[in-house]
Amino acid sequence: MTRTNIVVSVAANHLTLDVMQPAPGQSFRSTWQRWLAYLYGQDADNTRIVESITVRGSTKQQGLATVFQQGLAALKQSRFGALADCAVHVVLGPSASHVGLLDLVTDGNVKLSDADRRAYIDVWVSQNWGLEPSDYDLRCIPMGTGGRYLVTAIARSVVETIDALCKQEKLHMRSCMPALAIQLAEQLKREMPRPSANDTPTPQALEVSALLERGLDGERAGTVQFVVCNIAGQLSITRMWLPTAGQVADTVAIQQVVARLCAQHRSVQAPRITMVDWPHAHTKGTPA
Amino acid sequence: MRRYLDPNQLNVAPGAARHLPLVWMLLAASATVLGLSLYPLWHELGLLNQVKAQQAALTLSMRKDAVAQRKQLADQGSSDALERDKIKAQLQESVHMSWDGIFDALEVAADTVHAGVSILSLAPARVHGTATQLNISALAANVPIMLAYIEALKRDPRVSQAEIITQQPDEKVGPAVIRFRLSVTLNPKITVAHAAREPASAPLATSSAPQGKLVGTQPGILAPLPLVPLAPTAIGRASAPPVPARR
Repeated sequence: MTRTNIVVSVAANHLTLDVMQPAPGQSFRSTWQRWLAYLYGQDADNTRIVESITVRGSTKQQGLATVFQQGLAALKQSRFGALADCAVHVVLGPSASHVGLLDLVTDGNVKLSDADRRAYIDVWVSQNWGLEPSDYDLRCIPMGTGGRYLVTAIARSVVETIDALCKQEKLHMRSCMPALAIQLAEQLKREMPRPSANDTPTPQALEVSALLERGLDGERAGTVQFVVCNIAGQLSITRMWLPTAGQVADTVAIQQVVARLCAQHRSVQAPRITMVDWPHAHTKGTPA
Repeated sequence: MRRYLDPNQLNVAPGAARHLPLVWMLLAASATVLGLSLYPLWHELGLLNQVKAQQAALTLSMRKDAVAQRKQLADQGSSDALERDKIKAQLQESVHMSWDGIFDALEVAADTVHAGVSILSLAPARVHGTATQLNISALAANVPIMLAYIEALKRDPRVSQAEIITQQPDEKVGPAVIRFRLSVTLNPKITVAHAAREPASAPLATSSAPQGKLVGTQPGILAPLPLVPLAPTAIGRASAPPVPARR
């Protein structure tokens, strides 16, 4: 159980390294919680940021290694000091990761093997996202029993680059996942608002959350990921490029997209829109 | 709808743990419980194997002891057998060595009493060093003939000693007939070569005294010589059938 975690947030034009350590003043209760969290692969105490380094630079292709090395060097020179044996958790923003929902519905008599399922996913990834499946690390988990799968894709080059640099510095790369996956997990934990007895049932009310990738100057990246939920539990995940804030206001652009999503899901009710800025907004929920 | 999503399932880090620590702890606990439950069985199996090994060792040692005993007996037997063979060889050698001589001695002695003595049986008694002792059973026409026969044997150089063991009248055969047993000790100085150089079939006494007829040459028992009745007190000469050449 590593006590010090380094959360690496990879955005389009910058990279942030947050060093997180357990909060001081541990009690018996907190120790018990820590053990429980450890058993479930989490570390609940690592919520205190003791150091944060942000490096400006493009993280596309070869730029990622340069930016990451600069960040590690700056971290070593900071008051934090030694990096050896720290756990590294990489969180990729919407511009560096792909998340989507795949409906692979078959009749009850057809059972797909893992190989067949993988083949379907590869085709879906290449057709839906225009990616070469062999260049990406794909993950697929079922969402319920209706044949719906949550699919994520992260470029292998990103994973290998960060892993190699971590090994150079004797760091342990413990996780690498899209920021939207964390956001989605938190969203699913929250219960949908239940209508009171006096309210008219609105089964088609939507809750739309938009994950916005912010730069160092607060500017929004072009890629935005939308997660749509309704009270019945259906989800859709949409990744799209929106004009930057210089041209269109964020709220306007997002509302336009939300309107289209509502129309797509035949919802006439006013949706509840949540805009989530990333990074910084997700450091607390990062798993150990 | 799925209300829970574990982001760790989407983790693509190469060094990521594929299973929760809780899973490993449950596996370790299960393995510990299984090991503790199987330990008594393993222990019992070990004891059983130990007992079996001890039994096998005991059986092996018993077999070894039995083999050693048999070998010892065999050695003894072989040594006894060797001893017997040695004695037999000595006996045979001495007997063989002296058979020709003793036959000649007996016949010469019989000649002196004009076949007044019939040999009933002849058997080696014991071997004294290199000397062979024979027990001879015979019938004599009368006591003087018996005594003369014995004296004749004593005078023979091939006989070192001749003594009466028993004597008793045998009236069933005839009046004054004496059945007697002699113990004759052969002279060990008579060697096989010396005996071999002696005529194989010693010529019978040139006298026309009735001679006995040897039926067989097997040591031990000879066919009794035909007993020619003679006068009780005289050494007589009587015609006798020709004696075939002795083999």
